Amino acid sequence: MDSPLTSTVAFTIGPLAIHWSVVTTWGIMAALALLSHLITRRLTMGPGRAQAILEMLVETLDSEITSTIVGDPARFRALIGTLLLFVLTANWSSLIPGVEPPTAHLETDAALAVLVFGASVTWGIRAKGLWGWLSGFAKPSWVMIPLNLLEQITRHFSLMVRLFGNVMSGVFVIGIVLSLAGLLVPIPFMALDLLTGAVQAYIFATLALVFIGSAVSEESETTSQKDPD
Amino acid sequence: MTFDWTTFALQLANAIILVALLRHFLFRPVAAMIAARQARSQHLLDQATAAERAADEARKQAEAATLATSKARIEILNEARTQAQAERAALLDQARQEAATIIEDGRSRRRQEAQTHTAEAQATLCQLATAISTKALSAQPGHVDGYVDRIAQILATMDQPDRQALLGGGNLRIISATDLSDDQVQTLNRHLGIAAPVEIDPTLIMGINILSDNGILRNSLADDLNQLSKAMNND
Repeated sequence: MDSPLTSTVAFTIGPLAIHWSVVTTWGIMAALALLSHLITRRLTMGPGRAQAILEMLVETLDSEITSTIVGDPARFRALIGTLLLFVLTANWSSLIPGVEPPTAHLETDAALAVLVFGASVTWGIRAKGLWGWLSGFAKPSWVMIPLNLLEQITRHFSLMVRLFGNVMSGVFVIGIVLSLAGLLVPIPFMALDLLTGAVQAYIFATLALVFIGSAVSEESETTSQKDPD
Repeated sequence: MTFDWTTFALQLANAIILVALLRHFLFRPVAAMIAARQARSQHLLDQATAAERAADEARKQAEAATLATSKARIEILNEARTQAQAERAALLDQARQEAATIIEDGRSRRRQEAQTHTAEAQATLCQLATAISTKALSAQPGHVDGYVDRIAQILATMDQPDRQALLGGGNLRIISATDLSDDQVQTLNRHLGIAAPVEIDPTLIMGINILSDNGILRNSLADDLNQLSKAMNND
């Protein structure tokens, strides 16, 4: 296994080098989209097991969104749900032999953090207007403007680094143990990595929701202060 | 450790595309199905509410109908009671009229019967009076001498004790309905054996009685009629 701190090129398209993390992401995207299509093309009023799981996922997402942001949860559902499913699937993809989770690479986590940042800015401006969104940085006093601007950057940066650090460390540990102790010894670490991956997916999605919620509503400002970092 | 901006851009695009894909293939259909189920549940709930409301309305209508029926029953009963009272009063009046008619008929019939009976009684009485008179008169001698002769005959056939008791009593006298001739008085005194005074009593109608303090010898039409009357009353 290569070091997660290095990125291996899978193939090139002209001058464009496509790394394995991107290829894995495409595979995850295809799998999620195909699986979703296969399940949702035959939705019925009397749901089967797979449909029931998806409906439970959507209702749980709506419940989480509603508990954080006042209003219709439908506009945030796709982003938060996609982040949760993608990060979870990407984290658990390390269980497939030879596959390196995309979230163990900084580019993927940075892309997700930038996506959350862009969403919070876009929905914040849409909800409060440009002036209202900008004036939010001067609260409670204009003195706080630099700190608030810095907070906007750092909390999204922490979002990226947290995911990257946890997943990368897990891959690192499993790689080291595997190289030292053989085939069966890493299994407990892999199980722990499953739990860590699920927790990190939930934390990432929840923090993204909190950040977006703090951007779109004044009431969510206090909620946003609950950032564990 | 390196940061590849091309990979970052591709991953950002991938993330955006994945959001779009999952929105289209996953979240939107599932949310639509949940909404449809909720709408269906709401529809069923609305139907149930409407059915409950309709049932409530029907119950109210049934209660109103029951109340109306009860009122109608009471009105019908009252009307029937009024009619019954009227018919009863009419029947009572009719019965009273019929009773009055019957009573009047009875009275009329009774009067007629009474009149008839009275007439019959009168006729019977006339017949009886005629019979009595006939019988009484037929037993009379027809003249004063005959009464004198019959007294003599009675005295002759009378038991001795009775004769002595009658004639021996004091205050012996002869009671006659009409005046007696001297011959007739002498004849009587001879049969009596003593000269008895003569008194006139028209109530005897016809005949001669011998009266003393101890008794009386009846020999007159009035006495015969009286005896016949007593005999008839005893019957």
